[in-house]
Amino acid sequence: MESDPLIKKEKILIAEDDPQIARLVEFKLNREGFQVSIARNGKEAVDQMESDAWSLIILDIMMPILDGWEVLKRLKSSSQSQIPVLMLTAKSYQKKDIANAADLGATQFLRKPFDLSELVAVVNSLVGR
Amino acid sequence: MDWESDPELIQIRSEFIKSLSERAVALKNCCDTILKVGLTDDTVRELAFIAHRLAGIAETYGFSVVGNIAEKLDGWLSSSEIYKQPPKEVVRCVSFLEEALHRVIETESNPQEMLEDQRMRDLIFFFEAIRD
Repeated sequence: MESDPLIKKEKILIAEDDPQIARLVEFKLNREGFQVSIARNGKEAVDQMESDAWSLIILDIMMPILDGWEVLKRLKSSSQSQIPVLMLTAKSYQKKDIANAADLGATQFLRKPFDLSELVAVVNSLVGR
Repeated sequence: MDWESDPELIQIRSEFIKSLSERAVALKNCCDTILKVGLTDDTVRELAFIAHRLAGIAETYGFSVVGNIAEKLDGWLSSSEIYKQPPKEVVRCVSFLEEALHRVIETESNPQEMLEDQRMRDLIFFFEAIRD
């Protein structure tokens, strides 16, 4: 009997409001064997955070309703605070913004535009593959 | 990335290119508004939003020239220096990004030749000036 391929897949939540970024990241991570869900804004991300056992949350900063900073704050003050967070930042973000986010509990940063192989490498390291 | 032969990737890239048409129209509308009423906060904000999005994703889809132009424009539009520029100058540079989008839509390739355009040099100059 074949085993269910979904059983061992790590689950990743992507909070990203740009559908073209979300779609491409979802495609790549699916191909790498992850199970991916997408939140289209910060509020959806907060709602989904509590609903599953995520191995990783990928969080864009500039999102409608709640931005990435606010989502990060809420995550870190919730029962899910141990979930690693990869923040996607614009090239123009300054070192002090990144330092602030690190203080808030972000695990790692990736600057846009990123190479998808770079993304996969970072994701693999954050989920312990 | 296998953009040429992976059917799913071809579809995803095609949707991205399709989205560029809407962005080009939005850029054109903003330019028309600027020429009619001058630079307003709303128009500058909308332009910066479009440029910011393109700066963040175009290169990942293989269109580094669009990403490069958008990054410079985003930086420029996001600084207060933009209001010191003649509206026609802003329109000239925004139209450059619009033109890059049309080239990608038409050719589905990275418009390398645009890096040699005088408007690219102007954008780099503006971008460097606001960083100093």
